[in-house]
Amino acid sequence: MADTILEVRNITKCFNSKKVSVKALTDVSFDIGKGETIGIVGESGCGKTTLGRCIVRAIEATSGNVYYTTEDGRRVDFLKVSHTEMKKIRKDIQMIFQDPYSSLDPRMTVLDIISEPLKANFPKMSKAELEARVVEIAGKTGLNTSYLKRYPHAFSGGQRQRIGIARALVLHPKIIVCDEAVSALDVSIQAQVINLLKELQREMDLTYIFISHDLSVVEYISDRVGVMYLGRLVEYADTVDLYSDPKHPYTEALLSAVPVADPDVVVERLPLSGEIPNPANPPTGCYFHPRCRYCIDQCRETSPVLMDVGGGHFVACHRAHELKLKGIKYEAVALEAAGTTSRDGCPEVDHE
Amino acid sequence: MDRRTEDRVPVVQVKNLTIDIPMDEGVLTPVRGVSFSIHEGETLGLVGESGCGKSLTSKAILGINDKKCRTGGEILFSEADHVLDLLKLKYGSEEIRKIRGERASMIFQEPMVAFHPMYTIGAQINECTRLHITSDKVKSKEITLDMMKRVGIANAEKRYDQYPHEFSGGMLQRALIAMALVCRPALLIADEPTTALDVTIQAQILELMKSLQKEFDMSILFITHDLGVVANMCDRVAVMYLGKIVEEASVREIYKNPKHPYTKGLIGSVHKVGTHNQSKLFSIDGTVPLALNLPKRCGFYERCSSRIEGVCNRLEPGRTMLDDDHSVNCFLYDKENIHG
Repeated sequence: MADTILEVRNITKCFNSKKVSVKALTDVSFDIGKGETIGIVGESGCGKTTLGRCIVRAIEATSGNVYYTTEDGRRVDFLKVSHTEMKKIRKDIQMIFQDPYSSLDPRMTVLDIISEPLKANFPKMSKAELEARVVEIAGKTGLNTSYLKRYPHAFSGGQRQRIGIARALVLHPKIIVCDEAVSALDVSIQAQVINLLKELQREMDLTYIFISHDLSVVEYISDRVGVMYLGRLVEYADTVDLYSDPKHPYTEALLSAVPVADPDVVVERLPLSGEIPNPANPPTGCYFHPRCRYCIDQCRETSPVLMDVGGGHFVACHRAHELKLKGIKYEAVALEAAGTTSRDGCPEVDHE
Repeated sequence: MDRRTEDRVPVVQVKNLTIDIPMDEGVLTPVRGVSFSIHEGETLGLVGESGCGKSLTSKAILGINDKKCRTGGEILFSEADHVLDLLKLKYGSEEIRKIRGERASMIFQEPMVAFHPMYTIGAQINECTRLHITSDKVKSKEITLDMMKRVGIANAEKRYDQYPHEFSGGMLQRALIAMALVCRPALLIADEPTTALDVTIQAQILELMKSLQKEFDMSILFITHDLGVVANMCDRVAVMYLGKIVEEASVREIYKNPKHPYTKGLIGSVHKVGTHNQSKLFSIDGTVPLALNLPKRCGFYERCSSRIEGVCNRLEPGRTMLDDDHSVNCFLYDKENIHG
C-alpha cells in the first residue's frame, strides 16, 4: 500500500443548540494512502458531508485529529496547526461541491472564480501569471479557454462542475474532498466528469475523498470504501472486498437496495424496516440495532468498536465473525483480477 | 413481465405530440412529435436526460403545462365506453378535471415541495377524496385513512393531523402516492418519484409501487433518468432525446440489444455494480443542445460517433421497426430512406 497521506483520528462533531446537542460524527477514524480514492457512502443525514467539511476545516471538529503528511515529510495535525503553518498547507486540501449551480458566485466571471484561490494564497502574483495559471488549469479540465470572461449562468451543469474542479485544482492540491461531485449531473455528463477526475488523478497525483450516496459510482471510482451510519463509520475496506463480502448488516442492506442497470439481475432485497433514527436521540448500544435483522442482546447494550477482521477490513459489529452476509455477486473473472479492464456485459460502442 | 401487448387496449395513446413555447428569441420546441401508448397494467419507462422533454410530455397528458405552451397532436385516453382526446379539452374545464386526479394522476419528484406546508397531510389527501369520491366528511376521512395505511404509513390516525415538516422524505413520498392513488386511477404518472430519496428508501418505495400496481391493475408511466431503476421497474422503455423518442423496446431489448447510438452511449456510461470495471467509462461528448431554432437534421447529429455525413445532417430520421416490439429512429437502420 502507498504511504499514508492523511490519518483521520477520532473525529467527533457536535452541533449544539439551546435545547439539544446533536452528535453528527462520533469517533470516525481511518487512513488514506497517497494517490488513493476513498469512497464514503451512507444515507442522507449519516454525517458524510460533515466529515468532509471537518477534514478540510470548513467547519471545526469538536475533537479529534487529522494528521497530514506534508510533501517534505512532516506529520502535522491539520486541525490544530498554527495560523502561519495553516496558511502554508491549507492549499494542499481542497474541496469540490455538490451543486454546480449554487457553489459559483453568479457575479464573478469564470476567470475571477478560478483565480480567486490564487489571489488569496499568492497576493503578489502578477496578473499575467494569474491568467496563465488559470488558462493552464482550465485547459486541463476541458473548459474552453475563450469562455473565461463569461459568467457562470452561460454554462451548462457539466461545464459548471468543471469550473468547480478547476477552482479546486488551481492551487495544485494533494487531497481533494469531492462532496457529491457528480450527483447533480445527467448520466452522460456524469461519465464525462468521472473520467476527467480519474485522468486528473493520474496526471497530478491526487488523493480523493469521494463522498456520495451513489453506490455504483463509488464502486467504480474508489480503491477503498467507508460506510457511515448515523455519524459512525461502520465498515471500511477495499472496494471489491466490501461490495462482495460485506461484514456489517447495514452494508448488506444498503447493497441489496442498489438498483442494477440490468433487467436480468434479480437482487434479493433485504428491506430495512423503519428509517434512520434521530441523531439528537440515538438508540442505545449499536446505533443500527433497531433496524438490524441480526440483533442480539449485546447490541442493545454496548456499542461495537471498529476492528480489523483481517486483510484491512474494518467493521464495527459485535457479530462480524459469525455472520454470513450477502454482497454483490461479482463475476469470477472480475474478482480474480480486481482492477483489470474486462468489459463484460457492457454494450459495444464504436469509439471513434 | 411477460405480457402480450396486442390483445389489450391501450389506456393512453399519445400521437405525434408537439409542444412549442414562444419566446423572445424564437420558438422553443421541447417536444417534437412524440408517440407512444401504454397498455393496461403495463409500466412504460420514459428515459432521458434533463431538458429532453420527458416531464413536459407527461404533464401534457394531465393538461397541467403552463398556459403559454402550445400543444399539438393527440392524446387519446380510453374511458370505459369511449375514447377521449385530452388535448381537445379546454384548459381547466370540467371534463379535464374529471380525468385529472380521478382517472390519471401524478406523483412528483420532490415530495417536500409537492405538499403545501401549511395544511396537514390528511387534509391534503382528503381534498382529493372529497373532490372525486364522496363529499361526506366521515366517509371520505375513512377512505383517506385506509389509503394511508395501504401505502405503509404507520399510525395513520395520528399522521393524518400532522404537517409535512413532521414527515421524513420517504414518508412524504408515501403520502404523495396515497394522494395519487386514492381514486384508483387507471394511469399513474410517476415523474422521477425516487430521485430525491436514499437507496434503501428508494427500494421500499419501488416495491410499494409495484405491489400497488398489481393490486389496482393500473398502468404506470415512469419517468426517470436512472437506468438502474428502469431495469427493475419497467416492462417497456422509450428513450427520449431532444424532444423525440429515439428508441422504444422491451426492457430486455434496450439493455441487451440497444440500437440507437444515444441509447448505447447512455447504457455504456453507467457503471454496473458487480463488474469492478476499471476501464474508462464511455461518455457522450458535448451536451444536449437547446431546442431553439433547431435545424432540420437528426437531433443527435452533433454528439453522435457513428453519424453518416451528408445524411444525418440533412434529414430527420423516421421510425424504423426492427421487429414487432423494437423501433428506432436512426439512419443506420434505415437504409431505404437514406437518399429519400
